[in-house]
Amino acid sequence: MTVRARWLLLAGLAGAVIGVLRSQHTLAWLSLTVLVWMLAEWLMFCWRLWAEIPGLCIQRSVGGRTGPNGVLFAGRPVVVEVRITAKRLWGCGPMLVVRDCVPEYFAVPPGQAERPLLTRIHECTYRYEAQVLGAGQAVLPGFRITIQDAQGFFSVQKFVACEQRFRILPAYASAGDTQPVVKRINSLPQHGIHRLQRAGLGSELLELREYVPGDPPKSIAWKVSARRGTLMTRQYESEVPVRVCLFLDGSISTRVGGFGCRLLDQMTFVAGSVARSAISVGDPVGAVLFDETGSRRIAPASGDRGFYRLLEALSDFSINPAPPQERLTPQLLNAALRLCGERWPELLDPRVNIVPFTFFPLSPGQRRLRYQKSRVAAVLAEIHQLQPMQILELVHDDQLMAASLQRFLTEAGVAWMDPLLQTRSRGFHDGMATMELLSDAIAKSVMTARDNEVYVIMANLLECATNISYLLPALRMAIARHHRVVVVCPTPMFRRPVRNAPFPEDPTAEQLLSRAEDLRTEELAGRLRRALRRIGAAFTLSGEEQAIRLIMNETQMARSGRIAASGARG
Amino acid sequence: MKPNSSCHDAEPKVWQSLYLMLLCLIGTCFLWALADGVEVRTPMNLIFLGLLILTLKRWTAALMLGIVQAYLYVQDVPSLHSDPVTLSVEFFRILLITLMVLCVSRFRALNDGDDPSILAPLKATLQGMVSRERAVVVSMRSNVQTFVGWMLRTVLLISLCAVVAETVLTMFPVDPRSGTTIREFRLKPNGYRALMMSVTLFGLVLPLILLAGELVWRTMSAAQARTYQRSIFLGLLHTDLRMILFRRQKLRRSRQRPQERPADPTPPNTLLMSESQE
Repeated sequence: MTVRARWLLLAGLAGAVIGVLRSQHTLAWLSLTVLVWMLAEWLMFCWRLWAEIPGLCIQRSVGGRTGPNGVLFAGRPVVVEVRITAKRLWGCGPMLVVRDCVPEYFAVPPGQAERPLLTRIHECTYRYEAQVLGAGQAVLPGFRITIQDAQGFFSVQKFVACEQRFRILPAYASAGDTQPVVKRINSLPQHGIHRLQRAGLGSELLELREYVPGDPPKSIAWKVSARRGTLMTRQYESEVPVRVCLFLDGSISTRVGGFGCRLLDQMTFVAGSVARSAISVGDPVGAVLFDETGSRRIAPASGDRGFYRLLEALSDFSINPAPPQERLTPQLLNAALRLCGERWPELLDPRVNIVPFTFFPLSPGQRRLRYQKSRVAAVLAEIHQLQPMQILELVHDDQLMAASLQRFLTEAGVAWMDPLLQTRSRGFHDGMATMELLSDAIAKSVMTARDNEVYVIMANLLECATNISYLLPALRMAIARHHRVVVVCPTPMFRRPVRNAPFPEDPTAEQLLSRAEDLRTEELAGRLRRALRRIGAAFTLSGEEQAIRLIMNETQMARSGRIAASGARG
Repeated sequence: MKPNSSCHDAEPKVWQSLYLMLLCLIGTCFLWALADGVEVRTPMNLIFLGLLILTLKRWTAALMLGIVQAYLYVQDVPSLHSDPVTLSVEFFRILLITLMVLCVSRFRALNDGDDPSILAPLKATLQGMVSRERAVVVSMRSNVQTFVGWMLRTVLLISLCAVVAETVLTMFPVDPRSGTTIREFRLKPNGYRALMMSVTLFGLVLPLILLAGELVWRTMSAAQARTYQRSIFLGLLHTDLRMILFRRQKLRRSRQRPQERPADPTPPNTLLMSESQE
């Protein structure tokens, strides 16, 4: 019963009692008519719940797919169509509000995912467009329907399950034209073969040196020998296959934030783009995905099948695992209650979810908190099939409750943001942990690698730029084993800092903050660049999607054995 | 209706306008008839007019009913028996008042799920009707037909409710002039009547409530039934289970404490160092 019905009931009851007591016939009759009318409406509403709602059929198609599973791409729009059909002869409604429970992976304009049915219907279809935000797994669990009578006196909320799971592959930039416009070489190497600026049996001249007995006579440069008066030998470049190995950091700091705004999303975009570019020129691409739980190696593969296998691995890696333990806060509890109200409204019904009466705690605030915890615990008990003793443990153990709620919210696809995870006090220490994880991953990878691999390391290293020396031994080892290294750092503002950018005359606080963050990023990036250049590794920042060309240029240079545009050899 | 949707039902905007028009019509009639012959007619009319206008923004049905009840309380002469003419006039009045409450409620219920602009669609509909735009005329014709059918059914329902209410009222025609009932029950006649009516109404409503409750219970999902079962079980054994839980927690804490002590040798060392420095 809604507030409106309660007020009307109060007025009707008061009028009826007064009318009867004072023998005022019209007053009593009017009030009693209102009461009987409300009773009739309630009976009809109950009949609707019993007879109409079970006959309601709701189907959803996402991008034309109606099956329980599918694949989507991040950053692309998708059209969702919802078809509501009433199986009963007399149709369904009014009033009914059908709302698709959209996961946080989808960005939908407010009000687009719901459709109020204000009059009686037999069939109805509505569409909305959603933007897929980030890589991972999106679950569309079903529809929340609000059933109401025509006057708005009675209202019931129900959830109609219609689960569809979609693996969201990361977005990537197309490779574009990989061949340079200016001809720099005499002959094009085979597909998947690259010039390596080391002595070998290629076709391009690397250098001239003095003849050493044993050199093949055909490699003697006769004209130069004649000019110098001594025998000179031509040395050619190597032509080798190059394998690209992507290192992707999935530590806590990269997963914090809304989907599409996480550092991990930035890095998976770069990884996808680099992989696409490498595979388009025939290079096999592998990956090492590391986080606090360990590292996972994806064997190098080429071709479209290899590329999509890599994207699938990146997508799985982008799914947030169980978050680190936080303490129980009222906000966390409220978030869980909201989610329960959306997905399991019938389990929160006080007639079903009965909270045992206790005298303690006495204070109203504590009692309310205990009441909320008990209700959420009952819903969790149904989801995870807990015993009554475990429910009680949840209610009385805040740590256990916090862990369960975090798990519950994460499994429901809630992003790692407040209140699920405290985003403050994260930074330097996370960065140090990342460097340790990365060092281990590089060391393991070097052990199993072949020669001439290009290591593209995508990790959140900006926070620990001052302590990059912890990582340098691992990088030196990789370079010493003839691998080439590019480090790509994501930027927290999703924008590459612009050097000497024009500053507005009357800046707002937001502009000032943004500028300060740019300066800080630029300064940290400068430090990292100098430290890495010293050991022969390239460094670049990712950021907005348009900056991918710069990153791919850096990777291209590293693939050809150079670390700078000037042509310095690695 | 939203652009990306197709639905074979009537236009809610048109219905909203129709409810508003009907409300204005009944309201005006009622305003004219309200407080006729009462000293406070002008203020009561102003209040009622204010409530009618306020309906555009808020749900005012309970207030309207309250105003009408207050008017009846002030104006209505105590009488238990009415002649058929008065009864039919009263019936008509009751029908109008209940219809007004219904119109306000439905108008607001339609407006809750839509954008707040109410007068704009009404104006557009009226303009379309005046200029005889084909689309508007066709839409209005079909919608008015459905609306009239809908309203007729509603009027029938309210009439039936009024008949039931009158039947209940006339079931206990206690005459205040006869004193037998008073002596028997040591109550005033009206009090006795109210009591008996409450009991009768309760007796009528109780089976309906039980029936509806049973229907709701039978349509409960398995998950709801399991949750209910767990809740009941927990409620029955709550005290015992809580005691066991607290004991367990206490035991766990007491086991953890001796293990924690030797594991953290820093404080004594620090203390020693600070003492030696002093």
